[in-house]
Amino acid sequence: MKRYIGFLCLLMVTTLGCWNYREVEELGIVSGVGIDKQENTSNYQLAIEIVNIKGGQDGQINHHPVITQGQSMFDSARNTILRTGQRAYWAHATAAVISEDLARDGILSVLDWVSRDAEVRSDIWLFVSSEKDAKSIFLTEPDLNDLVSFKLADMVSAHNSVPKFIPKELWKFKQELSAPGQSPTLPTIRIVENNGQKVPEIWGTAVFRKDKMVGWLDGLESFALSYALPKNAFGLIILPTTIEGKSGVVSYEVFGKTTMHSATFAGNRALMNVQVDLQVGIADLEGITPDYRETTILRMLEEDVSSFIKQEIRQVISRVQQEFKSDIFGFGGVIRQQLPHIWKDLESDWSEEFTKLDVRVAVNTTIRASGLLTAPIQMRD
Amino acid sequence: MRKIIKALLNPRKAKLSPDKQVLRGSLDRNISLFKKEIFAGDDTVVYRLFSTNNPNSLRCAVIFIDQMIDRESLMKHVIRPLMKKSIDATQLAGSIDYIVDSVITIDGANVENSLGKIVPNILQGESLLLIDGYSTGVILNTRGWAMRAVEEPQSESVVRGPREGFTEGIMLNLTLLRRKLKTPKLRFHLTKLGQQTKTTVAIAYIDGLASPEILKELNRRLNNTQIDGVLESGYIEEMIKDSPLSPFKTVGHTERPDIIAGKLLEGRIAIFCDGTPFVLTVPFIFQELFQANEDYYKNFLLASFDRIVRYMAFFITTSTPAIYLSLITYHQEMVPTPLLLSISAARDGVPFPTVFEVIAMGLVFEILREGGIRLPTPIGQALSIVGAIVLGDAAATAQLVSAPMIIVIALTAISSFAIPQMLGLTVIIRLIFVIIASFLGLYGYIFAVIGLVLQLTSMRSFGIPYMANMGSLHPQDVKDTMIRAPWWVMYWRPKFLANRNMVRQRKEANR
Repeated sequence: MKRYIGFLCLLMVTTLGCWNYREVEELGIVSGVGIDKQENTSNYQLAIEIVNIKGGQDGQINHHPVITQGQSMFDSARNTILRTGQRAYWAHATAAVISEDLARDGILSVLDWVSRDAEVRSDIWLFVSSEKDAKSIFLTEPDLNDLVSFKLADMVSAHNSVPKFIPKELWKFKQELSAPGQSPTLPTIRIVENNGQKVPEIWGTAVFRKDKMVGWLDGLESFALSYALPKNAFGLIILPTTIEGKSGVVSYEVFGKTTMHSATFAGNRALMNVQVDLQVGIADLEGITPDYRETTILRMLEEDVSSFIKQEIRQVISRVQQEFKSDIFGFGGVIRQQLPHIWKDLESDWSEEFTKLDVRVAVNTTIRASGLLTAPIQMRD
Repeated sequence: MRKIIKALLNPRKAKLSPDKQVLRGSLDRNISLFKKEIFAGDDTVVYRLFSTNNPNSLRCAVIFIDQMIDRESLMKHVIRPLMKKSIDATQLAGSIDYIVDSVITIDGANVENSLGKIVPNILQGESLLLIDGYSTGVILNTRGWAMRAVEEPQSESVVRGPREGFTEGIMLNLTLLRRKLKTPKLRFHLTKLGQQTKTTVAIAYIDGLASPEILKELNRRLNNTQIDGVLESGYIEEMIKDSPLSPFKTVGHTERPDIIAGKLLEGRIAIFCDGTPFVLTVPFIFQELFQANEDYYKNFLLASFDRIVRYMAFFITTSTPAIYLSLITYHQEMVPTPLLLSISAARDGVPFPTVFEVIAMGLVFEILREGGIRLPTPIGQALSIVGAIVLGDAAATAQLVSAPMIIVIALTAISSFAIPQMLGLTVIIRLIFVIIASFLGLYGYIFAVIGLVLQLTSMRSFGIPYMANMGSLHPQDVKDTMIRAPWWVMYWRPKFLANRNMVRQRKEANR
């Protein structure tokens, strides 16, 4: 008997067919999806961007959106077969755009299938469309050999240099959704005109309370939000400056930024401290030529930057506190960690308590470099 | 009726076996014994009759096989002294010892009268001297035939290292080895294998280094072999090897004396076989598959790098098709998106499934390789052109095969040439991996790898674990596996082999 066991194993493997065998060219590789509610029904409508591959010697990929409907997310996803003959393959999807209506109704029902399905990756980028539907994002025309979703992924990967939105993966969004004392955000996409061509642009932030979208911050507010959050953000700071009676514009490039959140106990209330340290370089002088080799002028410029960032951060914090009542900064989580005895009292009604939270913002700027010019360009007659 | 058939099947038995016969007293009867019975119908046997000088003229004869002897020495040292001398019957005194002692001047001469001993010697190129009136003959050492010169072996060429290789003559081969190991402890044991071929086989080892147990076991296995002919050492290899069904070799072979010398110094045993330049070594373990003699002659860093490259080549040549197949047909999510898209684009329009592509292209390459080996060089070039253009370019242009598949096959092929010791072996492993991966994907591939490791670790070569040293982290064990340590830290010989005499060099001596 013993000698047949190996043979039996072989028989089991070879006669039961090929487990999960599928040829790569038969897959409809999904690169991204726009999720809408169908008008006047409870049905979902998906705009699935399938990579259309032209094979052969000079193989190329084409943009090929497929619009499907279904009673649930999964149903709509499966219905692609009816329109393309290919089963959609989701493992390489990079972007999911959710319409604003759907986001305002609550996106948990969308996220359930997206996170439950074995193929969709948990590092797919989530967006909210600021257009009237998510479909229109995928109906824009990308360049040859490019796809809308890949373009969005490219923008996200370079976002550190232009922190006007805060990218979010599916897993990160779910984590923020379930963390105590933290509300999630998603970046928003709008369509802009570029040289006569309609292209998507990621600009601004959708603010959520639980899974429902409650408000929207524009790109500049998102910039301030990036600086208020303990995460990497660089980008440019553009400041109108007046020195010695002359006024002009100075651009600073941020090289390094650290943001520390800490909670302290003041009186009998919690006090949040947001400490921002900036390392910047002078990137562009327009209209003025301050001699930044002088320590007094250097300190003045640094002070300018600090007060500007401080003001921007205070503004965005107070707007979020007053209008959205949603703790997208994660202050509650910091209090929970550092002042747990206070958190117990605040926890039950945190969204209300958050609006009354005192936040102290301190910004410290150091100008470290001035590009290739050690001094402003001198003009003489 | 049965008797006739038996007689036909065993013609020897009908007559008296030559082993039992002895020489007669008369020269004419002796010659006719050879002419009519033993070498009946064989025209290559030469019978040279002559007489010694007057007055006591004795009739003599020399029997030898044409072209197998050195005629010059026979003429100078045997025939000429006999013909010039007059031999008195009193000097002989009833025995031909006087001739051996005082007349003929050749170095090797034995007096013999049993045909059982004489005939094999004649067949090996010795000559027989017969004298009328005596029933004993003299076997003269006149061996000498045309032999290939000592050349660089084509199968194992080196950039740096000795350029000599073994030839087909065993005695010359033993000399080549002896010239490298000038120690009285180097021992050669000669035996004969093969009932018909009577091939000389020599076991060579260094006394005090080689394990006596392994030596005993080797002798037992050699003595147990019953075969009519041994034409090449491959016969012996298959008869004595452990794990006879495994494609992995457990007996090593080489054409180079320096490799044999190196292996003997590590306590191994070499088996020389007459008629082939390939010499066997036992025991043979896995790490030797990745060693080359040049590793020990060049800078240790470069040698170590080459070793690592060989191990990587082993992985690539056995696994690339299976991993490619699994990723493309089962685990598309593991492939980076741009790569998946370009593979998908390349596969678009190819009519065959990926499994078929892998197996068919692998087979085509093997045919190409096998076809190229034995072809004369001018035709071989035509073959490579056809292979490169038709299979490489045209097949991809015509979309019969996808371009990535050609790259995978080419990668496997190049890597397999980096480890020439395993050329046939990797094909089998690769095929098994591909077939299992085609049913179960990476899951199956991992199973196949586990199976391979189980097989390797369960193997032994003459009692030595096949994977010895491969799992060890001790510096003296690692020194000759994945890397080649510098000579000045190789203090010990491999401990599983030369455990009786471990010290290769004294540590202090190099300080």
